[in-house]
Amino acid sequence: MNCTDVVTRFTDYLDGNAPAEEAEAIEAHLTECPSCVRYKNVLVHGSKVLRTLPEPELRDDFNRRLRHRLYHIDDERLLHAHAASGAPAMTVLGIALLLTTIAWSPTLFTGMYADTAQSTVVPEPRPVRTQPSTPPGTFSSKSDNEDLAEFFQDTELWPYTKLSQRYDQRGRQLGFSLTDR
Amino acid sequence: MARAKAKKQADLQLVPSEAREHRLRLGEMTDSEVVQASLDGDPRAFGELVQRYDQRLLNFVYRTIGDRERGQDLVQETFVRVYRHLHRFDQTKKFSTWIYTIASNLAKNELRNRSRNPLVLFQTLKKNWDADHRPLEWEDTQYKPDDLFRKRHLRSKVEEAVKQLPEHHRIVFVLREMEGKTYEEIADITGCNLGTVKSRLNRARNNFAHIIAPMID
Repeated sequence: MNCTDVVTRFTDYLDGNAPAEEAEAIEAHLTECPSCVRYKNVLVHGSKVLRTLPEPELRDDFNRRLRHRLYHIDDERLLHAHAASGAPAMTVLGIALLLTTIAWSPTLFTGMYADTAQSTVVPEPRPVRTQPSTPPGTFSSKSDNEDLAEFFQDTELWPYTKLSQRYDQRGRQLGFSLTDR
Repeated sequence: MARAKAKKQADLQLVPSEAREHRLRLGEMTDSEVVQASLDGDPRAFGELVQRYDQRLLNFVYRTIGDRERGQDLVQETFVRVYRHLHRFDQTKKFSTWIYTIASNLAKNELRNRSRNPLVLFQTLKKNWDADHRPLEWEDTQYKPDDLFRKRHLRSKVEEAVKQLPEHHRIVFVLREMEGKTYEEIADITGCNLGTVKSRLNRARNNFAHIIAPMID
């Protein structure tokens, strides 16, 4: 076994995984090769130093921060489980059905009120009296009060004048005419 | 690691006795049992998994990407993903392999993103500044200043050597040398076959040896 072979197979030998024959061959080579002995010493010593290197320390808030993050994961899971359960959708659907039922209930339950509802009797309309229109200024017999109608029948209540004439008369009294413009 | 363990023990003393007993029970369980407890709704079970893996994952991610602050973020993200997808975890497999796979993928993504958007990390600058401006500390009076300097220099060179390894070699190297994973576990974590793992590890060790050789007598 030469130096290259030793270096190639040294990992298995160092970790105790080399077959017995191979290990013996390497050990035999080490007895007569100082450079391979040095290689072994450097590796063994270097690994020892490596294991004594100070370990980095965790920050004081490491656990607190981790707990905080895990809490949020739990929170997410709860929300997800709640959303996935379909409860909100069912609630919305239920409310919608309830409102629809209330809105449509008069048409849905017509039979329920048929026996209890009183029939409404509508009286016959009074015949409309068609009398010749009375001239303006005379009492109209269309009044609801029949006694008054008889009493004032065809009596002149006030002298009738046209509205334009009345304005003229009023204008003349005041010294001008409203119609002569 | 020992200091982190001591801190956890001290924290445990502060909790009420019932909770403490529960935590102790969880502490005696295997990873699979703790995962099952978490899936069954035990709120403390996931905390136990975090306690078991937070420091190890941080060490692994930090050695892989070389940035302490970003490493913490990635470890957090790893736990968040584990929490989110724990129900999908195949319990016939090893939990540690699964969680390392997630962390490894996040670290790879981070390196890939960094190579697309190269920037000088402030932390890198700051770290070098600290190293250059830090007053000399006499950590151990038994050592001579030369020894102290040499030891510190060797450590920094070893750290540098790991950073200099190509990305796919570095992940395999860190998993084997620092995390003590078997070849099979590394193959599962990295998604490579066993031969690729061996070959990458061999090359990584060769490179590593060449970089640090001048510092080792």
